[in-house]
Amino acid sequence: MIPWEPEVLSRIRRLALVARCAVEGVLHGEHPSRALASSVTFADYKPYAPGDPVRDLDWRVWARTDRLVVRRTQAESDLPVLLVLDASGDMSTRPGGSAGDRPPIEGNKAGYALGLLATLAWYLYLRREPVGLAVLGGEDVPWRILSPRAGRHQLGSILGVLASVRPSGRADLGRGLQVVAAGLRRRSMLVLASDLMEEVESWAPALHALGRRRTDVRVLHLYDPRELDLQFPRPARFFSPEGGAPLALDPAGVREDFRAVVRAWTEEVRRAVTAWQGLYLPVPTDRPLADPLFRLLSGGSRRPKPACGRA
Amino acid sequence: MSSWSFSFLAAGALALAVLALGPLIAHLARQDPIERQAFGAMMLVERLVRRLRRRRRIQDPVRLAVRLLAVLLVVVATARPGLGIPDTALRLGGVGRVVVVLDNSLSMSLEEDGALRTLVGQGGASEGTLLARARREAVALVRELPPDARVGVVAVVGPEGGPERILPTLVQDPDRVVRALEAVQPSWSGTDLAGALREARSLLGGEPGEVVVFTDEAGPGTVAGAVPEIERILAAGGRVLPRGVQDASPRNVTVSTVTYGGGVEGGSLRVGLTGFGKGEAETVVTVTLPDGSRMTAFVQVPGCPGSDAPGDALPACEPVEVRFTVPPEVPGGVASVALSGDRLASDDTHWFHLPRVGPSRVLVVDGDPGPTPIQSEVYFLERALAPWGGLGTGVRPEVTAPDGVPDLDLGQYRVVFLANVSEPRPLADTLSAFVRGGGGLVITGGDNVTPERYNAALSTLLPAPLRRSRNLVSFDVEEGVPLVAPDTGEELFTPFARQGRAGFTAVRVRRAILFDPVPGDVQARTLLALEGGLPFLLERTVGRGRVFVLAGTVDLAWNDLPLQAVFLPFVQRLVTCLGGESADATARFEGTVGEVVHIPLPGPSLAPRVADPDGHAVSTHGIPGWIRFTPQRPGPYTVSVEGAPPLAWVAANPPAPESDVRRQDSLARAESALDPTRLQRRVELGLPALAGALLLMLLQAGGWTRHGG
Repeated sequence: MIPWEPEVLSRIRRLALVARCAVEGVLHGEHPSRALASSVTFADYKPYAPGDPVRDLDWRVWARTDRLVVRRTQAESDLPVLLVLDASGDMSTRPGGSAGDRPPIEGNKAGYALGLLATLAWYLYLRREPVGLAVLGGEDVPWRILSPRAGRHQLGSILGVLASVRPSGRADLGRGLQVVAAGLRRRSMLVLASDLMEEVESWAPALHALGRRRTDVRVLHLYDPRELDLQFPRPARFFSPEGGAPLALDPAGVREDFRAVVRAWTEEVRRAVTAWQGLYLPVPTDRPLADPLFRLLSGGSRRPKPACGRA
Repeated sequence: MSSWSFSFLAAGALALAVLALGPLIAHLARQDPIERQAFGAMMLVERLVRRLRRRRRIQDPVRLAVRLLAVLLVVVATARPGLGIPDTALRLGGVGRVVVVLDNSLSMSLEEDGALRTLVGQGGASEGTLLARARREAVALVRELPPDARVGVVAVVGPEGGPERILPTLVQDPDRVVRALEAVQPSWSGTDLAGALREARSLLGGEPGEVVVFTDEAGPGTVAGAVPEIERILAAGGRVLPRGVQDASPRNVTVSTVTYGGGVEGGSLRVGLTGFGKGEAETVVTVTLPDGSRMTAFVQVPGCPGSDAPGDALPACEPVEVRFTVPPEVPGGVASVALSGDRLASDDTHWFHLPRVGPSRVLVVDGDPGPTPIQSEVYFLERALAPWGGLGTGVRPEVTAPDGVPDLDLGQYRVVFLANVSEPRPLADTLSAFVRGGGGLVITGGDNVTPERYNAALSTLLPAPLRRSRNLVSFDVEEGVPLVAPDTGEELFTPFARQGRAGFTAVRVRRAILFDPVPGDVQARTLLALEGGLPFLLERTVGRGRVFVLAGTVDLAWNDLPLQAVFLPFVQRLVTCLGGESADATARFEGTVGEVVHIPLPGPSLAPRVADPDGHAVSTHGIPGWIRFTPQRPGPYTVSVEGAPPLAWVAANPPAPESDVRRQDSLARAESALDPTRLQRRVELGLPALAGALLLMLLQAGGWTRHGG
């Protein structure tokens, strides 16, 4: 159950506001994603063969040409979208700050992910698309997995979960994606919002398994530019909220080497995601929410018009 | 070379080394920052750490080491360290007394590599020799001395042969000193460096002074022998300043050995050649025999490199041998072996004695020509001496009656057989001179031999006085007394060691000459004896010759020796042993240039003259019965009395160690071993240490060692 605490309610309102503003910005853009639209469309004809359903015979063609043909159409179905949130402890840090209870909606990777997924849920709600949510890691999660459904109630549940989650611990992306994939329809879309701070070898196989079953996988790789540029003023003992031994580091001394490591790692991640037709979107947390949302929906790079101010 | 040393003027300042703990503590403190920072990309940090691990392993210790080094350098600088560097460069101390020692031994005549061989004067001195360079440097040194400096000059080899002062005292006249230096001539003598330093010390008169030695430091033991003198000079407050005058690549080939081998006729001459220095050398070897005939061979002599570090033991140099076949007949005398194409020409000729080579002429004095061959000693002797008419045996026998001996020149013979001669008195003087000059005399018994005449005439030659002969057995019924097998360790019986020795025991003697006991002052011994102990063959050495007395006969009158198989080889061996040396009266001696030669004289009243190779008289000094002189140059020297054949030949050669032109040891090293500080220059290290510390600090400040972690 969603803890109906004032803080959670405030966060829900805040998330809703952020999402609505962002969605309006997107809708004022040019073209929503074709992939998210679903419709019943004519495909082609084929000669009748014994066993074909008689109701599929096109009698008009028979009347004009005296030939029996069967009318074939594309399957008519909704495209369920599952939003996956990485709620590991690493998502809640930021330069100059520390891991708090619940992340602010802005300013760190976890908060940015919450806003981004809330916006996406809002958008899909408006499109009457079924949308669900899975949370990997974290604490105070009312429901780990909300299967994709359409409707206002589903949107409320998603916003409630997002407002309640407290990032902590490890996400265990590989294992989490396997669990999520087990309950996901074959034709569906999975949107993963994560900093991917786990070894690629641990989660890439699960992602590839989704790709092999033709699930539309879209990875929002969240990163804090200041964090990956080691913008820390003085040497310190760096530690991960997920645990592990701290390491003494002089940021100024190793910045260039760290950048090289980041470049190599980013390329490694990109290759892992796109290996099975996945869409890889690097998402810096200092950009407006509408920016990655628009890129996610359209695949284009043009920026949407700002709607409700900054977000 | 002198050794290095390191010292501190203010050793107490090293206590400041505790300051080195500062960077060490700072370094350790920086390992653990206080501030903690949550970080969302620790996975990448771990990757970074792995990437930097190798660099951190190196750089961190390097940074610590640099900081420690900077502090330590500051500490060391305050301690004012100094480094003692070997320095043999001449730096006169200003005491005002300098003795220049100039090595003009034979090895200093080495032509420097690449120098033109412009021979000047006696001994092959040229402007390209080590001595010439040493002289030039010495002159330059004298010119640079302060005007009030008093200078002396000592030559390692003076005009009299040994180390000598060229100037009697220290003088304050540079021109005179230069003239003295230019008067030093090359020599053939060895390097008596100790003697030269002794002269230098004597010149200084016990006062402190500086002895500048110009030498090539060649020759085994040259430097080691000078150490006591160096020690005395140092004890007097002086210094020895060695100025090495070495060739960059010294090379020399010399004649190390000459050996004449073979029989009395012909034979071979083995010449050993030794090369010193790096690389193989080619040389033409020319042997000049006493009769002027020459033999030539082309030889490649392997090198024998020296050592790069003076004082190390030099490898032994193995000679290469070349053989020459000596003609069948060559007169004895002094021969020479000469080499060509060498940079040290002074030792290229080696003189040696060659014995008279040719058939051994044997004179048989037949005192009892028998009516039949088997009753004649000469018959058996001739067949034993020349079994095939003298062909190929190297023995040429000649027979004469006793009356004919005075008309003969016994010097042409090597052995004389006195076979049953009845009257030896007319022959006594001739035979005595013959034996003393190296000839061999064999006296055989017989019925004509009368002890009284022999004892009276040949008492100086006989091993023991003779007695009358007597029958040892019943002459008609018994076969005689056998001989005892001889000792094959004796030179005479050496060939019978493998077989034939028992043949002597087959000899049966029925009559023999008896002997009185051997006088105590006579060098005589028994070589063959009869069973029962009676001597059968006695030997006595007289002068340079030997006398054998056979108690039996060389015919069948008293024994059957001529019928035995051992007779022929026994007689041949007798001639070989007796005739190996020339029978002339000239004695032969070996001499070394610069060293005294002692020659015994036949009589105490003789006053012979010694002539050098050019025939000039050589100054001599001696005691009665001896003559002594010092060869100043190599070659054949003669000792003779006016109007008589030479008494002795002396083959004088340069000292062999001088041919080894490799640097053997270092005066500087020897002196440094005695007093390490004498030949050192102190280099202050304080300022460089401080500069180094500042440089390291600047590098630190400039971020040279900055990095993560």
